[in-house]
Amino acid sequence: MSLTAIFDIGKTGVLTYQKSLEVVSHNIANAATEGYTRQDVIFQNMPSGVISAQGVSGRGIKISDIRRMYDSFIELQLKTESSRLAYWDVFQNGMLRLESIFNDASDVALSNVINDFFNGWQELSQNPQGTTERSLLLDKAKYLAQRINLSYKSLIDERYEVYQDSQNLVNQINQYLGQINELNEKIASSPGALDAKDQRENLVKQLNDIVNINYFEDNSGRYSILLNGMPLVDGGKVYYMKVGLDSKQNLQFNLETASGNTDVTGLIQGGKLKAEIDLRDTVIPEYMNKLNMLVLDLTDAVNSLHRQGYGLDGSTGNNFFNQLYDLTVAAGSPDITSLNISSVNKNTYDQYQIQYDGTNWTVTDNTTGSSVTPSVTSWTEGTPPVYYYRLSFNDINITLRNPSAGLDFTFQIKPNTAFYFGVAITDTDKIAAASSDPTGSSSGPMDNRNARAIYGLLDTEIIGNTKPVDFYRSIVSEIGVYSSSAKTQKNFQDALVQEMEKRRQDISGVSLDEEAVNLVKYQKMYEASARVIKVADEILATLFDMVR
Amino acid sequence: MKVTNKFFYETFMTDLNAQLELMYKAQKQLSTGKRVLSPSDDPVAISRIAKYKSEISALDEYKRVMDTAKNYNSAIETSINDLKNMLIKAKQLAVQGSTDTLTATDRLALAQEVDTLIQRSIETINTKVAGRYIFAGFKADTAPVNAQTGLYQSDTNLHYLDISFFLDVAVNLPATEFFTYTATGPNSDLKVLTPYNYNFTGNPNAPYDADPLGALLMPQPSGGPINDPTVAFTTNGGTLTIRLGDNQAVNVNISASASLNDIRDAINSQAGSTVKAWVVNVSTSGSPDYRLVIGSVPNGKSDMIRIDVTTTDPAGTELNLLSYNPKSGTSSMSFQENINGYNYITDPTDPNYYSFNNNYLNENYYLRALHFLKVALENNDQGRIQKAVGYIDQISNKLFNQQGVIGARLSKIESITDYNQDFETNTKQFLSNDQDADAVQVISELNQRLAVLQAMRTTFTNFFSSTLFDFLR
Repeated sequence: MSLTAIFDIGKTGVLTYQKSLEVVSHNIANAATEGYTRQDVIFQNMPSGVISAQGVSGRGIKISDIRRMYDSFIELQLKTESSRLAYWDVFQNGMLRLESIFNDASDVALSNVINDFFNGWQELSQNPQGTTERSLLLDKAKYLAQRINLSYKSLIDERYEVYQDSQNLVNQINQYLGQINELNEKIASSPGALDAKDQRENLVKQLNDIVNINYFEDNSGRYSILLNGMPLVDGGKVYYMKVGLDSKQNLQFNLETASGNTDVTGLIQGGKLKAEIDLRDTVIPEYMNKLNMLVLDLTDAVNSLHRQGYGLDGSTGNNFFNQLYDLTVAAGSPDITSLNISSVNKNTYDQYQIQYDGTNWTVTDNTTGSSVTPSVTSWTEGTPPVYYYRLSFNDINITLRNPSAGLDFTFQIKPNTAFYFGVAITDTDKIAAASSDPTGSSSGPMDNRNARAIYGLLDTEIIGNTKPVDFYRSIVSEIGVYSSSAKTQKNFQDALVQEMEKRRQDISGVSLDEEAVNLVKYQKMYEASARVIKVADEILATLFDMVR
Repeated sequence: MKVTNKFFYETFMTDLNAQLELMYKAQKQLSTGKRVLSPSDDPVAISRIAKYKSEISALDEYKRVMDTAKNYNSAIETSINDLKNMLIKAKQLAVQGSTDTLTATDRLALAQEVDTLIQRSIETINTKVAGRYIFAGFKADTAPVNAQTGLYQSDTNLHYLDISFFLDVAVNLPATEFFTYTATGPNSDLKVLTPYNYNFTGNPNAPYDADPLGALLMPQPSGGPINDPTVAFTTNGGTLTIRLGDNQAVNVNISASASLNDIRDAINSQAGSTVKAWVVNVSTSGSPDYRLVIGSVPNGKSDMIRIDVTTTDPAGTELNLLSYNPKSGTSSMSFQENINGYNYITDPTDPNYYSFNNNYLNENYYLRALHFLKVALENNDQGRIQKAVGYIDQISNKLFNQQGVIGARLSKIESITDYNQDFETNTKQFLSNDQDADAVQVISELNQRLAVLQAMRTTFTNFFSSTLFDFLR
């Protein structure tokens, strides 16, 4: 053991603590960096290397490792919960936008417009010959149609927006996948690249927020990324994602694999993308269908009564609202007095063919090509008797008056029904407020019976088994419940993520106070090590003095 | 547990944002005055709010309807009151006109006053409210009563308005209810304002006797009622000698085995234009009971008819039933006052239908009664004037009834107004409970939150004003 060894020991100290100060500084500098994992220096004393029984001490200090303070369990949990949070965040935002479309808390709510429309009939019943009342009613009906058209268009726009969003998200996914793959290679070639790991971790987390994935690390430190079993990044290869629409205009996600495109829509189980799918293809269509049903049944009920009534000019048989189904007659002349639906299902907008041979009815779903068995109710009214047949199938109810044998026609409810909702009447004189011809002898322009009957629909179960306003408010209330529970879920998830974040910070976070203490500590150690060198120098000087 | 600066900042920001968001919401509640700002705030309440709003909107509309209904019915009430006053005046004139001391000229003057009343009553019944004739049916754009003929020319539909969720009320009163009537079919040439003694002979379509106030009614044969007016009534036939007042007697020959209808036709063809016969079914039950009625044209002189029968038919039966001698009293036929008070014939295709149907020229109607009085005064016919007093009394009862009807409508509207008002108040209260923000509560919440926010800011700035680095000199 020589005196110069002290120099060496001092040197190891100075170099080690210099490095430590570097790490501390790096920590401090990254105190606010997202996803940064605190690095810690692990010291180790250096043994002398001389095996001796006595009087041998070590040769100083060295850094055995600079460690990321990283707990993979917490990281995994954080990723899982964060992905759920991302789902609910997107979902709740979507619900908020839906809410604003169906907001009945405001004074301009659609239910008020429905009421106004019916009040227009009530107003007309007070003065059935008044041009003002008639024009006003038309205005109100047009406004109702516009409002519903607009609401429906907002829903369609919303779907389009979500589609755009999901395209952006898919672009992001592909970008992340590429970056993760690059980082994989970097980490595999230099396993000590701590910050590259941090970056990759961060990318995986962000990717997981967008779409729920599984990942694992292989022996060389590469991450394999799997989407519910389908590899996205594996063995240095990246499989990119694409988004498009399927035949039913629903979102479809494909992976570009060697064997071609693979549909992975069903594999997406969480994250923002799943929220987009749920919103666009489940929630929004549900309310579009409800609006369609409201519009179809309202139109049917109003038109049925309106056709029976008479206008000021004696005209009758006119529709008040546009007919919302397409009719093609092959034989006979079907007199459809009513066509409504009791709920919307996947076969609602199919094309149906109806044939009558005088005793039996045959209904065929032309869209699916399958035959449908209708339940038929028949009754007669008045003298001479008028025969009515009501056919119910697939939640569609169609009523025909005096059908003749050999009747053969097809009808199809317009898809996007609410788009076609509009007022058919343009001439105010054709509004049928009267129950019998006002130009005839037994009635007159003050005949308001039909107007009263139509007003009465406001209080009649015409939409399925519900009154119009009740039906509409049930939509609003349902969206409210949905949105409110989404909000609760999101808040819960938010709290959970915060809790996880806290635990992660506990381990991986940078506390400035802690770093300050370390800074001072290493500084002092540095100073002390330097002092050791100085002391060694002094000792040597003393030794040299002896020689002089 | 290590609390890192980043985490501290983040937590602080989250809390601060949460606090600000709550304050924003409270602030918005305060500025809009609403507790529920979007459906998700309270999905149950939003459903109720929509329901209450819908109900209130309907109630507002009902209010307007009720105002309309009230306006029209009040106008009807006023008009009926006017009509009543005119009727009282008419009665005074009738009573005055029936006194013996008056001369024909005096009565003529009274007749002119009655004529004014007639014109005024037609004007009243043709009252328009907001461009609509209130005494018409659905044809409310044409005057209900024709001022020239006095006939009703609108329809009889009642115009109902809904004044609440479950009640409706009519806002018109077709004048056929009490004022005048419609003439259709064979009577279409008839006019309400036709003098009762008007001679229709010039008009082949018009009924001979527009006013059969009195006529001779054959008694029921002792063998039971005649079921069929076309089977033989007399066995041997004979001659009816009909003398009207001091006029020359006319002979009507009746052939053997003549039926009731044959006798009617024989009288109508042989007795001249001053005598008229009808066959009527006087039965009120299902089994028919046909009789012969003989009256004078113009009417009013029939109590001076004398009918002698020359026949070999058995005494007291057959043709002998048609004898009538007002002076000796040995009469088979009886004198019937105001025969059109009986509604004998309901079948409009019956050739006698028009003469005996209540549907026209009926003094039970206001306008006809006044006109009857007027013509009676003009003709200086004291008996008829007295009769008119009776008619007027009857009509005033009818008017009372109509007044009652309108009064019931108005009180219905009134009570529904009260009910709706209560309902509206309650609904608004419910709506307010669900929808409106409790200002005091919101303000106090806002203040609390403000205090918390300030405390957070203060502690935050104090906490972070120094770190350990500050002490490293």
